[in-house]
Amino acid sequence: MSLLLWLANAFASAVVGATKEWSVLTQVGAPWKQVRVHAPLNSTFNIVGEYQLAKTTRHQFFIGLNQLYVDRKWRLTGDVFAGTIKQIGELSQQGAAGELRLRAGRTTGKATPWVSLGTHHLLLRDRTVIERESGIETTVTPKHVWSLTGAVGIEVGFRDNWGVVVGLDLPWIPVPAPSIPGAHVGVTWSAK
Amino acid sequence: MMFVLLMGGCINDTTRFQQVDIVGTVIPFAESDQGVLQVIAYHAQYGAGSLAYPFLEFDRTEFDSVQFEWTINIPQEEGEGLAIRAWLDTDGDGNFCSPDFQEEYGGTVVVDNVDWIVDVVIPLTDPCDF
Amino acid sequence: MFITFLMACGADSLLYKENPIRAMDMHLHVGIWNQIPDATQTDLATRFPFPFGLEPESLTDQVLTGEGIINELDKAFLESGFMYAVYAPRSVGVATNEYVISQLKSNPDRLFGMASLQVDDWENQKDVQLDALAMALEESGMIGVKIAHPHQHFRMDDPDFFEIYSVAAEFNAPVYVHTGPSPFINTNADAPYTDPAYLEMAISSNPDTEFILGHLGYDFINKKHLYLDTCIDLAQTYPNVWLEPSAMGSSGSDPEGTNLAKAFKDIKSADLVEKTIYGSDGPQRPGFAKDYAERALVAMEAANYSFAEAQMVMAENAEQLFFREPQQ
Repeated sequence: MSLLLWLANAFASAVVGATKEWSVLTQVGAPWKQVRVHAPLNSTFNIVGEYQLAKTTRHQFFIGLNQLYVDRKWRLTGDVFAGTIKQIGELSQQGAAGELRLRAGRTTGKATPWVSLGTHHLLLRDRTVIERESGIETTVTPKHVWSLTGAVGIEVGFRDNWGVVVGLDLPWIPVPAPSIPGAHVGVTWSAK
Repeated sequence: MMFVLLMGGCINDTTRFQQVDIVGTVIPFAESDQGVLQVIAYHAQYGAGSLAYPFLEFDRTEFDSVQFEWTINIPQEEGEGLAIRAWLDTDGDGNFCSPDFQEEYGGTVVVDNVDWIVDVVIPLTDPCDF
Repeated sequence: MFITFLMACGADSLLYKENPIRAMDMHLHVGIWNQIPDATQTDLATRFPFPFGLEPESLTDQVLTGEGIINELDKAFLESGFMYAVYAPRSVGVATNEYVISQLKSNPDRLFGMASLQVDDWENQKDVQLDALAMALEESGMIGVKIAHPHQHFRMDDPDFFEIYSVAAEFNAPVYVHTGPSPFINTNADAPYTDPAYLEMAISSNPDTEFILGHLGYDFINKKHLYLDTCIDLAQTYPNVWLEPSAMGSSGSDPEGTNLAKAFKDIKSADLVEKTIYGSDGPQRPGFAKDYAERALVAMEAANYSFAEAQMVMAENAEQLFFREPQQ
């Protein structure tokens, strides 16, 4: 009985979005680790800050706007993110990035399934410098890298404002090559 | 927002070149030798330690004449020096010598001082010079 | 097919036409990530599926060792494997004879080595390199020589290098030769470096040296057969020529799965099954050795190989060539 009291309804956390209070998601996994913070603006919009790390080399910083679309037995929200990626190592790259993301999750029950899908865009700017006797010519060539992000999982609520998340990460980085799936566990917290 | 805009302007990768004009004269082995002139540009030395080696090709082209002018962009990231190799494709098969034809000649010149304009004279003296 | 699949799931050996088949892989690589040139490191990292490319060194250093190879052999139900030394600083990097010899020690019953030598300063270093090759071949377990003209940038018809074949013959060490254009950067795809027709002079003037034409002249750049017919002609003409179909049948190089089947079909039509030796060119990723062995068996079945013929290709021909007797 006491365990059932602990397992409160778990929804509207930083996993699915459209939170009514400040909410935080922290997760660790292979290869993704992530921190996401939701700050409500009003009943429809949240400001979202997100930091993502893959292995120890790919850092992504995002800031975005989360909007509530549907709020019934399932909640559907959408995000527009903008930020930057810095990747070090053999595949070093850095540039501006953006993502349009849809998140959905069940709003009732002790264990609520959720899913996330996104279209991710990275803009790289490569510079070519040619030194001539007459001077130096510099050209910058943009390059667009398109990826798809996806994840699916379950969130289990504890008390009124804590949750535990487990999830499977299924990105395609970059399209069209499917990536090796990842997995993560995390904790969500919302201010009362 | 300023941070995002700043990062949008940042450069991912920079590749540097030195542009050099090669003014070349090739001296065929025999005056009668004719064919498309194949010219290849190399770093004279590349790599370091156990991965060091001579002659890394970075460009190649062809000319219809034994006098040529060729503008090349020499990659500056790694590699040192410049070598220019030439050979005359007298049998027109696109290959320097073959099991059926061993009468082609090549020559290589290592350029000591790489300036904006480099004059090279390449005698083709080595038969099937591998 | 479903029953075959179920049988394969619970199998403890490779199966050919539902019967266990012995197999050895005569083409495997070991090495150290930082002995690969930077440009090739980047090129390789882009080929790994995300996120392996983010930290490729940790992945490759697990797999490209003697222990890593044994893991791959076990997963693939392969009895033994041949590890290659490489001296190709322009392209794929360096894995020294000493490194290969050190890795043999992790399982000397199942691991064997193919020695190689540096050719970049041949004019000045020829004798030193040939002596080093001979020393490597004196080591127990080092049973052959591997050279790759497109990677090492020397011509197949250059007689200055023919002494390599004499040294190999002294030690009864077959010489594996990469044929066909290579997919790696900074390799030479010109015909004198890739077309086995240019090797004929070396083959005919070194009748005591056994030559293995690796990759069957496959064009890895355009992903198609290029010199298969030449390889077959040479194997039919010369008794000291053997054939090896590694890498060309992988999912990356042969996505339709037709090129490997065609190669096996043409080999059988030319009556050269007894001169064909299986190799994979792994371990390109964990599980590659198993995957390639299975692809080869499927291709042989499509080419109507009998069990006996498939067994020759997968183990007996290599035993005949390298050991002169069965290893089991």
